[in-house]
Amino acid sequence: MLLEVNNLTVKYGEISALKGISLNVKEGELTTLIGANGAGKTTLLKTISGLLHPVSGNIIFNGKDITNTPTDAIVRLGISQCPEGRKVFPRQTIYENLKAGAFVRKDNEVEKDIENFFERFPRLKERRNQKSGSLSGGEQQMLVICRALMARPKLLLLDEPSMGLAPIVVSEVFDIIKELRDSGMTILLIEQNAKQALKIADTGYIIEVGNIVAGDTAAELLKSESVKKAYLGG
Amino acid sequence: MFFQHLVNALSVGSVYALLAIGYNMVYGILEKLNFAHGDVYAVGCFVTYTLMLWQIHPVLAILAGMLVGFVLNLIVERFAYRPVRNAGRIVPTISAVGIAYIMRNFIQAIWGAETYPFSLGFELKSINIGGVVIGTLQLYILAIAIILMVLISMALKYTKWGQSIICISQSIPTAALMGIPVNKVIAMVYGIGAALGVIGGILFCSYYQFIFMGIGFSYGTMKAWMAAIWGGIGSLKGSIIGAMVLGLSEIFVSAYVSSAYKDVFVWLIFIVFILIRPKGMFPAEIAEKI
Repeated sequence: MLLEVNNLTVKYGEISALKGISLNVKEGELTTLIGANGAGKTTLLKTISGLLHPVSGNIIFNGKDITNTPTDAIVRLGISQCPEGRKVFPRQTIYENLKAGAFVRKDNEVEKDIENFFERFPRLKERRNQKSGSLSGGEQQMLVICRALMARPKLLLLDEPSMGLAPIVVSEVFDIIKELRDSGMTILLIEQNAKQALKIADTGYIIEVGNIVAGDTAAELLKSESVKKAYLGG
Repeated sequence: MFFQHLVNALSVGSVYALLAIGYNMVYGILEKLNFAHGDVYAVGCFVTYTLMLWQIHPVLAILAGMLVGFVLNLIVERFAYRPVRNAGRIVPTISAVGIAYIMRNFIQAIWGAETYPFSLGFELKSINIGGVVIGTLQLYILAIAIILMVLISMALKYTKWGQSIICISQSIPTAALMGIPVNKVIAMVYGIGAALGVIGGILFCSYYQFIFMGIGFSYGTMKAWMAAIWGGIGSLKGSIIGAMVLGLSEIFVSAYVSSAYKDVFVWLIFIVFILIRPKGMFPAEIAEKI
């Protein structure tokens, strides 16, 4: 397992957002966690990245306990996250956003990687010196995925990449995630868009108000009656 | 006479600009009023003053003063600001006011409340260009201010650490997700802000030829704050231009209106300005946050 989350409990004051949840992410797989708004999905990703601290339980990454490690050290260990709501650095250019993503790197292939992303996403290349705040939602989503990959992570965390995007852009985003998975990247994808997420995932978990209620291969979850009823629109 | 006043205004404005840059960097990043800015760097200025009395070369004395300001603000940030960083706006502001008082009383305890003559000890000449007298000190001030401002804007734009400051000023959690050690960078910004403040403070003292325990607050924090508001919160360009406008208003008000009531009139202009344009002349362009 690349990532193991064991009995994780996270509280906001008195309220438990995660009530002792456990899940695993296997190397080279796309794992998805689906659930409704407020189920605790974002809380989990924030805790993995060290932006929130659990009251109990632990997180093991690559065999190392990272439970109370500072965020910047977690990034250096190889976990990158695209946060909810995209969060580009709007006052910086596209190029500068990508450079920011490479903050932890010390090799000299940063420029080469940027050029590779520009080749894959010509729309970003055309606007490389424009402020990223001026991009459309879909373009911003491409940018933050590239920005997270600039760190050359071992594990990519995606927090609702389809949120607030037009349907045609949503399928484009899912295509890119699939493409990443096929290239061997390990991904933990968080989504409300259960159907599309399970379609491209290897393993799926379902979270309801702070508890994991189901975990199986994505194919089995897609077939399950209860999942169909609750998340896939019958 | 007009050009003479203009030259004087540029000198005063450059000094304020140095004070405002450090102040505005912190303001821009954390959106918090740093009421201790002036009083912290004033300690550094007094250290420089004492070292010069001990016949240490002014350049070395200034560097030592900057180091003191830098380290002092690192300590202040660690113990007075960081623990309350997420406690809203009021708590850190009050914490800063507390630090301001501590620093000022510290200066009073060590150096006393008297006003002392201050000079960098360079031989001061002046040149006369068509009736406009320009002091060599004014030229030094202008040159130092311009060099520092260019260096800072280049560092912010073109270095990895400068860019990380810009990232933090937009979103602290997102910056952390890039692997930027946010706490370290914020502490450095405070430290550098104070070190720049020491240079500004020393130039201020040399220009007006005195030093006393109150230079930090009334001539530092308040001027830097005005310049920052005038120019635009969090914008480097804004703080420089705001400082120049402040210098111009002060000099021209004392020249043509009243030197005794200079501050009253300048505040009046300032208040009218912010009523009309509350975000300053160059608000840091914050594109829509989604």
